[in-house]
Amino acid sequence: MLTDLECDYINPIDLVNGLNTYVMPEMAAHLLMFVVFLLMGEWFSMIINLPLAVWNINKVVNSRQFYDATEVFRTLPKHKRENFVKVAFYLLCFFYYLYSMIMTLVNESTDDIRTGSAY
Amino acid sequence: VGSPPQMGASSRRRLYPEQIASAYAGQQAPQGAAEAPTYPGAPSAAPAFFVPGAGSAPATSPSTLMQGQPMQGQPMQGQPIQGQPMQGQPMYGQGQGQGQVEGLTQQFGQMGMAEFQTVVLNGRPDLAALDEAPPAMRLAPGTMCVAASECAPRFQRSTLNAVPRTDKLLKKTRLPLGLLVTPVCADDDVAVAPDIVRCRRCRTYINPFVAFTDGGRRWRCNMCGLSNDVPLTFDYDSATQTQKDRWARADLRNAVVEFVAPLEYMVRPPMPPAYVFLIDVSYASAQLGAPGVVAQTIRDTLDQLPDADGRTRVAIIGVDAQLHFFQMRTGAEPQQLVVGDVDDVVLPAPSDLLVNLSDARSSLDIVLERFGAMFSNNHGVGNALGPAIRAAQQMLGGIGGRIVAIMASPPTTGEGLVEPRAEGRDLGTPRESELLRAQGTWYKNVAADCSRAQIAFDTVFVGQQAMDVATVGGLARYTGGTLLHYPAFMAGRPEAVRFSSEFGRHLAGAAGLEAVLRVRASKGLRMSAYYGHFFLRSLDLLALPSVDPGRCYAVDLEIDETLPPVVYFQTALLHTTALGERRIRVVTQAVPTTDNAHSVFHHADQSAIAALLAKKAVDRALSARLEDAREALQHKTLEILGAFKTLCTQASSGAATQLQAPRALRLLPLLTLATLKHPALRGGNNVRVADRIAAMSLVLTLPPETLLQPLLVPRVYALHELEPNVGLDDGSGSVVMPQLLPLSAEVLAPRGVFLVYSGADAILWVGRDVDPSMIASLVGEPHVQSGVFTFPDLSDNGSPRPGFELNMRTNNLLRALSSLCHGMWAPPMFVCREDGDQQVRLLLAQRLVEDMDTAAPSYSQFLNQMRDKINRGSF
Repeated sequence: MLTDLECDYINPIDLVNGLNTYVMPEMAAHLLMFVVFLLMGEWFSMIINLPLAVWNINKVVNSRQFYDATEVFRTLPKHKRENFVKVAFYLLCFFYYLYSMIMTLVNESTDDIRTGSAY
Repeated sequence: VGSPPQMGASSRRRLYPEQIASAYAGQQAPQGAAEAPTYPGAPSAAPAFFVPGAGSAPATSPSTLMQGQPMQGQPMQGQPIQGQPMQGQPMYGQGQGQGQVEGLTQQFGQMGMAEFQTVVLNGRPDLAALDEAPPAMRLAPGTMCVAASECAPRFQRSTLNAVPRTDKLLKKTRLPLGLLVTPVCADDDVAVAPDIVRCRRCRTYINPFVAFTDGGRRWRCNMCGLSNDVPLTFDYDSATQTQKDRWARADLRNAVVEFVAPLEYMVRPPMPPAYVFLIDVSYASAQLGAPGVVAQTIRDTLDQLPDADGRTRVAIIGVDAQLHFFQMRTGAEPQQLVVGDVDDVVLPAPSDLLVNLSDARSSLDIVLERFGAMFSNNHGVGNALGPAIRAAQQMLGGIGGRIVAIMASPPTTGEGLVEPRAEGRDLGTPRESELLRAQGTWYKNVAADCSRAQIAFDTVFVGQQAMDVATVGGLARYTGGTLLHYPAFMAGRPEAVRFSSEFGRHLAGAAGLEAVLRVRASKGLRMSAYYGHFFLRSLDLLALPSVDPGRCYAVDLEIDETLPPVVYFQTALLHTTALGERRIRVVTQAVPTTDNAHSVFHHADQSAIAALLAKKAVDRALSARLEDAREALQHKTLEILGAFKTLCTQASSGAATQLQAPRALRLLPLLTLATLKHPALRGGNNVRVADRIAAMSLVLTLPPETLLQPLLVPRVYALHELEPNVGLDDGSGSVVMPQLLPLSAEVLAPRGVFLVYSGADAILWVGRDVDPSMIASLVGEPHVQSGVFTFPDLSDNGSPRPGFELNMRTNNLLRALSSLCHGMWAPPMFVCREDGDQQVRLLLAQRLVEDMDTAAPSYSQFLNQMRDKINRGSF
């Protein structure tokens, strides 16, 4: 949507209204995952999510989390960079979680085979 | 272009005429500035403007200096004058193998001709320079242009009249490249062109600088170089059914032209003007007497509101803790409807709240007449501005218009409530910058929504109460409106008269509605930032729900690739006029480019640079911190002078005993100092936040002519020793102005009377030993007290009464000064006795920019600091 703004497909007010609806849910979901990792003792996952959690909390505390229609053009490069970094981070995390999940399933099934449980 | 053509058509002086400078300043020689030409062999006579083509050798035939230049199009008879260099004139290298011309330029630069002269900065600044025209632009030979196609500087000014060709050169000179465009000036007279011709690729409007090819059947766009077809009806005047001379078309003759926009340029029929007045009637406002004064002013201005086709609509809403609507049915008594539930505002009546001005005029008059009396004893406390805005939005619904909010207390009820922030201890500390930012986003969101609905806000703040101007003022800032501030307002005092005249003038001056502005530049230039009051709708489109005359928009430019010999800037403003017509105002300007750092420095426009830097500093202060902004401004001036020293003077490295500057930039340190001392950016702890925000809004929106002098750099005149012809008509309708004095307390002699005029106010300084008879001849009484003063007019209808000549001349002077600012302000006058009131003396001290005060150094100290820093190389 940010590149749409640059190419003049969308105006700043619509952009801001569209994007702002997703800001809080994204942060809430991420915080939920972080808390789950914390409680489940998955220390490595928690540590890699820690910087982003801190960053989000910092933004909410300073009320900077929403996009501002009047300033969006000035801060456009910064927002684009931030979003790219988050996308890259989420992608890497996704693959890591996938890998962990498969490993867990594989380990579970080999454990089951070894202990001979009935599946 | 700097020479008369060889065909004997009207001569074309590219240099802006001397008459402008002399009519204002009334003097030729600068006063006191040391103008020491620093190169050997420099002419010892006083430098005169080098006027090309006047009294020099006769024009040479085109062939001598233009070998290898392809001639574009047929030689048309009469008008198109291709720029022809005179022999021996400095020209810019054109990249066509004219190396010997570059050499000539260097030689002439070294010879210290007036145009390329370097001055030493010491002593007093040369204040007359502020009235000078911008430096001459030498367009490269072969540039197409037409007589009268120079763009008047009041419409559009570039900071550099010789743009560097590469980004590298621009960065080396450290000069800011930008454009200051004032699309609509007060009392301008712009030619109207019949039909619209635009380039196919870049959508540039046809302008005087295009070249016609292929026998006049095609035209080449000067911005992108594309060859377009000339439409078949181009030479045909459909009104009189005759062939006409192509070059008589308004859009090919004038740099500033207006087109009538056809249907493709409208998304809906042109809107009628509509005004909703939200007048604060709470207890605080009633104490000041504001409802009465405001209602009276509106009533007096109703005749001047644009109403050419009878469609103008007006509504009045009184705002305290409740909303007071007025239903004005034609032929019936107006009724007041009070809405107490402000949490979910619903309009109390389906119609007749926003009434047609001409139909319901009598009802409106009745309402406005009784308005003051109705609310003069109002004890309601609280201000429901947010709900009032929502109501006004509902009223203006699909039309758009102007919401004028007059406030005397902070919004404390309903949505949009703001807690005014205590500022006492934070002034002067880094926390002050927090106070300048808006609290919360409600007002910004409202502004964004309103700009979409073509609603503009004007916010007027009266009184001393803390109203959080920073937050509510955002309404005006992001919808292209105006912010007015009258802290000393009180009914019955002169300040109320001032409010009436300025507010009335503002209402009557609405120039354009539902407008968008776009700036286009040649290939290789990019617009990077915009400054002013507007909403940025897209990367390069400014949405202006309302366009006020005399408001300026500044653009920062960046160079992406190497530029061609001439670059063009075109500003297009699509707007609906007050008469209900959709028009496009197009301002086109051609600026030459150069490879030579000397040319860049000597053709820099100091007024435009100072105005742009001031706007950037204010923008920085609003988004970052005040200290950063001041620091950056000072640093920038240092960089510019340091770069000049390194690149263009002989002492390019190592210390120099004197600070040198190009003649074109000789006032830059003074302008920087004046900006640093202006209430908008001033350090110290005695500028209240509301005053600061109002001052910042002025700096952001005013064009260089009105901003620099008189607002930043006031004018000082000695009234006790006026020359005999000063103050009188000089035969051509303009008033002869007295000599400008330096802005320092040194000039205030105890036996004299001085006028310090800064546009927004005027101070009459009366010395302690003044002859009482002189004061009597000036104001009618032999003694005056310090404080606010109304300058009397003791002449009978312009002819002097015996004994009061000084009064008449001073009144003429004041009128002339006021017209320089296009009548924007009705400045209150203060009398400051040398031994009188402390507060007024403090006010005067703030205006004397060259003196030292708590916030910043004096002018000479400032120069010394800069010289030392540049010598040390530490900048």
